[in-house]
Parts: sequence; C-alpha cells; structure tokens
Amino acid sequence: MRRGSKLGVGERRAVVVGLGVLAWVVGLLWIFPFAWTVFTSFKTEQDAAAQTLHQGLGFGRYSDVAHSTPGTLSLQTAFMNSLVVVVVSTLIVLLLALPAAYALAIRPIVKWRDVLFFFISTKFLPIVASIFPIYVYAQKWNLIGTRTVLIILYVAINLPLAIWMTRSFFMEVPRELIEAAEIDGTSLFNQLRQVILPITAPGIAATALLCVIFAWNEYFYALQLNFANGSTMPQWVVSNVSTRGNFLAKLSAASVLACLPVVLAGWLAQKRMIRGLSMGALK
Amino acid sequence: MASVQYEEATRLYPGTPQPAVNDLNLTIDDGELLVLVGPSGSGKSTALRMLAGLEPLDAGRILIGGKDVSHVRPRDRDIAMVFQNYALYPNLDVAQNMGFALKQQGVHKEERMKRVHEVAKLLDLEPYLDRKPRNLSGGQRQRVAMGRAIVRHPQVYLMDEPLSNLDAKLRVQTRAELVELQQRLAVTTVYVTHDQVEAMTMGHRVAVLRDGDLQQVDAPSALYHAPANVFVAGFIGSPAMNMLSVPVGRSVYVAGAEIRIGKVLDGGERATIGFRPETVIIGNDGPIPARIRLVEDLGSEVFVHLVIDHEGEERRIVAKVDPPFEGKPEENVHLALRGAVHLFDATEARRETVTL
Amino acid sequence: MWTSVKMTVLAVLLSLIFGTLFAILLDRKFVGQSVIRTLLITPFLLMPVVAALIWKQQIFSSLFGVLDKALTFLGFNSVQFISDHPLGSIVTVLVWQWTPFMMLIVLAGLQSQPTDIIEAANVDGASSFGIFRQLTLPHLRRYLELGALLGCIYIVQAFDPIDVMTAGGPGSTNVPYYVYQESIGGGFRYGSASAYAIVVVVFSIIIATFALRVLSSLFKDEDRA
Repeated sequence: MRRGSKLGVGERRAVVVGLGVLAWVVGLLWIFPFAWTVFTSFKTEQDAAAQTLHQGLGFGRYSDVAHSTPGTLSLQTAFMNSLVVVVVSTLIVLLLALPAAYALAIRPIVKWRDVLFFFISTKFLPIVASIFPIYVYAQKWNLIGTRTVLIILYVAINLPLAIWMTRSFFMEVPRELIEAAEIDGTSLFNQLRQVILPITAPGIAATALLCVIFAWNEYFYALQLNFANGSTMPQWVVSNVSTRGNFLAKLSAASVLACLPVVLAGWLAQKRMIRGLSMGALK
Repeated sequence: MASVQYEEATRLYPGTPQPAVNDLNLTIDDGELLVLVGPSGSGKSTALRMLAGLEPLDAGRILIGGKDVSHVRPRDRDIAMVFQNYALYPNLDVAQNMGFALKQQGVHKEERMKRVHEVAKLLDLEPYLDRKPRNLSGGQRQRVAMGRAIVRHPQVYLMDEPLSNLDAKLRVQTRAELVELQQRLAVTTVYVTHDQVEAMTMGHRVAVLRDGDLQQVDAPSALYHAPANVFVAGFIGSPAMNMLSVPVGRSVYVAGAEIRIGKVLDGGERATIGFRPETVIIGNDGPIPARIRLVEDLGSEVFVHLVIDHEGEERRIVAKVDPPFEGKPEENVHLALRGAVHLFDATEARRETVTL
Repeated sequence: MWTSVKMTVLAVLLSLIFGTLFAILLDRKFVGQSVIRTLLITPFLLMPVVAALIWKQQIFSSLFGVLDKALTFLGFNSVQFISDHPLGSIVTVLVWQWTPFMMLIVLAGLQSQPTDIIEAANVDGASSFGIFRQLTLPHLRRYLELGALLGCIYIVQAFDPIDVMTAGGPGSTNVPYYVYQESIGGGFRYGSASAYAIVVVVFSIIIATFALRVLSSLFKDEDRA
C-alpha cells in the first residue's frame, strides 16, 4: 500500500531532519545542568568533588539525606510541612477562584475589569517588601513557625493567577450550553458541576498544577517565617550545604529528591500545563 | 495565462486508507473557468491545494503552462489564490495586503501603489485602502482577497469557496461580478465550491468529484441533461432528481403503473430510473397514483412534494409545475412522466436516456 | 537600583530571545518532539534555590565545577565565575529558568497564528524569513509583550538566586535583596529599608501603568471578540 508523503512541496528532507537534530542538541544542552546533578547524586562524595567516577554509582547518597542528624531539619518533617502547606493552600485557592471566575466570566459583574486588574496588581509588589509587616503580625499572632502562616501567604500569592486563568477557561465554555442548562431548570450549583467543570477540567488542572509549583518551590517566606528545623523543602535542600567536608553528592541527591514531585507532575501534565499557561495567561 | 493539467494526480494523507484525491486526470484550458464541485470530503479542496503546491503529490504530475510544477514550491508557481476565510494579513492595511505579493517580487513602491489603486478602483475598495482587515465587513474582506489575487497577473487563479462566507444576497451578486471579471481578465481559473448552483452558473466546465474520484467533467448543461452516473444526476440540479429503484425488464413499473420506455435494461437484477421534477405532470388521468404532501409556492414556480406507493413502499416524488397550482395536501392525484427519463444500471452508470 | 534594572532587563531580554528561538524550533513535527519539550520545560519546574545551587556548585564552582574542569582540560585558566562575574552568574541562572516560560508563551503565539495566512503568504511569493519578519513577528508582539511584562514582574523580585549564590555580594544585589538585608536580614534598619521598599512600590507602579496599557489592550480585544 502506498504511504502518503509527509514532506511539504519542495521541502528538503535534509533540512527537516537537520532542524530536528538541532532541537535535540538544544534540548540536551539545556537540561545538562540538571542531568549532571542527577548523575552526581549517584556518586560518592569523593567522586563528586573530583569529578571522577572511580567508585561507581549507587543510591547511597539518597539514603544519607533521608536520615537526618537530630537537631537539624529532617526530610520527613520538611516533606510533611511542604505537602500540607501546598495541598491545603492550593485547595483553598481553587475553592476561592472558582466562584470568582464565575462572577467574572459567566455572569460578569459590571466592574469586572477593575476587579481583575486589582487582583493582578497585587502581584506587582515584591514579596520582599512585604516581609517586614508580615513578620511583625505573624509574631504578634504567634504564627511564626506554623504551617498556617504559610498557607495563608501562599493562597495570597497564587490566588490572582488562579483567578485569571480560571476565568479565561470559563470564558471558553460556549454560552449556549449554559443557557440550555438554565432553560432546563438546572440550579447554579449543578450548572457548575455538570456543565462548566467537565469542560474546563483540564484548564483547572493546569491552574492547580501551577499553584502547586509556585507553592512547593517558594523559598523566601518559608525561610523568614520558620525556625531552622521546622521549615519546608526548599529550606531542607539548602541545609545540605555544609561547610565541613564534601557535600556535593548529598546536595545533589537532596536537590533531586526535593524537586522530584513537581518535576514529575509537570512532566505528566505537560500538555495541560502548556495549554493552561498559554491560554490562561493570554486571555 | 496558461493551461493546467492534472495527470494521474494522487494525494494520500499519511495514515489514511483511501486517497483524498485518486488518480485525477483533468485538463483545464487557457482562459477557462473550471469549477471543482462535490460534497465535503470529495477531494476538491485537496485537488486545488495540490495545484497551489500546498499539498504534495504522492503520484502523478501537475503541469502549469506545460511545465511540470509537481515539486515546485507555491511561491515559485506564479499562481494567486483566494482562500475561503480570505486569509488577509491582519497587521497590514488593505493597500499593503493587496500589494504584498508585488513587494515580495521587488516591485517598486510607486509601481505597486499604481497597480493596487487600479484594482481598488475596479473593486470599489478605494475608500478602504488604509483600513485594517478587522475593520472591514465580510463582503469588503472578500473583495480585498480578490483584489490581492487580481493585482498579480498570475498564470492561474485558484479560488477555494470564496463566496461561502457571504450572506445569500451578496453571494448571488458577487457571483455574477466574479464571472464577468473572469471573462474580462481571461485568466485561467480553478474554482472550488460545494454549491452546485454556483457550479452551474459560473463554470465553462464543471468537474464533479466524489470521495477523491472524478465523476464527470463537462459543460453545465451536459451535466444536467446527460449525467454520467447516479451520483452526478442526484447532485446537480435542485430540487434533486427523483430516483427509483426498479427491476430489470422491458418496461418499467412505477407505483404499479407501467411506463413504456421501449428499451431493455440488462445487466443485473435491478436498475435505477431518474427523472427531474419538471418531467412530472400532475393531473387526473396519468398512470401513477399519488398523494400530495406539501406544496411550495415560490411565485414563479411551484414545487409539489408527493408520495407514491412504489413496490410496497412509500417514496417521495417532487414535481415542478408552473403556477397557479390548485392542489392541496392530502389530495389524491395522478402523475405522468413527460420528458427525459434516465436509466442507470446496477453499477450506477447511466446507460440510456429516453424521452417520453 | 541600577543593578536591579540591569539584572532584570538582561534576564528578561535574554530569556525572551532564547524562548522565541526555542519556540520556533519546537513548532514543527519531529521525532521526539514531546521529549525535547519536556526537557526544555524542566528548569522552570525546579526550585529556584535548587537551580541556583546547581549552577553555583556544579557548573561555576572553581573547586567542583564541570565548566571549570572542561576549561582546564582544554588548556584555559580556571575562572572564578561567581566571584568575578556575579551579575552574569545570576542572570545565567535566571535565564536558564525563565526561558521555558517565555518559550511556552511564544509557542502559544506561534500556534495561534492561522495557517491559511502563512499559506497565503507562501502563495504570494514570500520567503520563510520574509513571512516571519512581516507577519509572524507582528502577530507575536502581543505575546512577547506579555512575556516581557510577566517576566519583569517575577524577575525583579528575584531573591533565591542572590541569596544562594552571592549573598548580595558586590554588583549583584537587587532591590528586593537589599531591602531584605536592610530590614530583617541583619541590618535592622527598618527606616531605610522601608524607604527602599517604597521605591520598589513606585517602581512597580510605573511598570504597572505600562502593564495597564498592555492589559487593557488585551481586554479590549476580548470585548470585541
């Protein structure tokens, strides 16, 4: 059976393949720093420091970082802290963003432009500038070192983005579907549940993923508002930088471990995230 | 100005079992307006795009002006194309849109502007020359798309359903203008449409396509009066030709009434007869009993939808009569056939046409 | 502060340029397209502290770094990247992480361009480069502006790389880090820190006004659509 040609008219195979190869080269080069780190994480400390490979590869460093010395931040503590903070804050963000998006997209309030701009404008202030008053109040309310304060702050950081993206996804729902549901007597809640959410689910997933990424990777607030042995994953990674002896391989292992959840999530949800970033950011 | 030839041109999309365009052999003469018509999926747009160089050929050749352009890029083929959605360049104004191709060729600004103005005058676009496409109405955009093609003096014009996005009235008007324009410019034009009315009124010749295969290419009247097969017969003409399946034999029985056609149908058990609405005479003394279902009075002509009992099943028949027509729904009448009756054999090819 | 501006502008510009180039490369079908896209996205997913640490320890470090080894292997002298080029090091990390972000935005822009316009331009005789220059680039303008805007907003606040790599060493402090240093990072000079914070806010408002123009044009397009 004949197979149809995939090249365009006048397209030279060499050029097409060449560009593909170039893309591969670029991709591999770009990922090299991270790939090298992963590689290093399997080495022994001596090999890592000397950039050699005499003693073979293994998971030794990973078990090293998983066991902590008392008095320092342990992987388990940091992981639990991060997990709770990220999950709770993202859930709250979604809970708040969905109604907001509805109010801005499906049945827009009159001042929707102003409201939207207000939300976005909250991101204009660098978080560093806000640390002073936040610290003072956190201390006053005994929130230093708690997960609660981080949850509150991460909600504040992610909510504008979530509202903006969710709103744009809601705008994509064809008006006719909602009107049909309305005519059929569907309640508001059911409209949301049966019509809007199924269509926008990928977009909302992408939004949630972005919130998770930003919350998981956040360093500054976590650093300032926590004690040295009770913080989140970013802080835990940094704590593996030591002044005594070789630490490079352990640091690599810690880095890879800490980034793994988000990286895997990003890889799996890649297409949705792309769609989300592009549409959510652009409309 | 050049002739166009498709020689066994084939396009098979990777991963599909059937070719989109299958072994197309078609010659278009210099200065001719040929219409490619067919339902969606028939391959007409693909065939046009192959001519444009936007689709590669998997077999066969395409020649423009006698030169094999099968592997030549679109920009080197000296063709101009009007797209269905106009494809106007959104960041350029009307004058820049129309002058775009000239600019690519290196034509100087003065010369460019002169030619753009000429064409703008021809198409009544002069007041809009500095507007961007998003500030134009559908009809204006369509004219800009045409102007962009005309300004170029290419060897061939390609048009991909250029009227289908216009509203009905504008479509009819623009249709006529297009035909006059083409006659005046006398440039070979290949025109794609799914609308058989456009095909019949515009083309010197019309090529009917179905599922990638060319069914028939002929002047419109030939397609109407001498269709090559059941598909063409049913596709051309509105309302569609009435078709009935009949057993093979010396006479044909419609609704139990014998219609003497004086020919023998052979080759298989069953055949098909077709007769256009205008051959159906409604009266009280025809051989075929029928009942009126619906009367469509268009003023200048009346279409009557009837049902007959043909071989135990209800079949719909449409008749065209001149006004005034007095019949009402649910009335019983009798039909007679007067005019061309086509006989199609079991392979759906037309074998005979009998005039009753 | 001047360093802040330099850092932000450099990082945004470079990541825009690289992002656009990569997007163009990725905007075609080739073997392993999704794999390469996955690889290219990854730096954006990493923690900024991790990214900074990677570059600091693995690449730039004169003791352990890979770059260093490669250079000495090839016969060059060892270079103290971070100490000698603090701003460059930080910009490198920022660009490494933010290029994927720009790439995704530009990619969305490229994919939103209607194909029949490109085809029309082809038929009209334009070369590939001509099409890019005359049609694609103007189309991408909105997306590039958005990328630049978002990039500025996020990058001007960059804290993690500086804390990790140079701790505010000479020539590499930007405003947020300075504010941090002056306030609770050790300076405890809240007055002066607050003053700088106000500067940041004013700075942001200036950007915001510009942003308002971009955003309202986006809103306007939406209204019409």
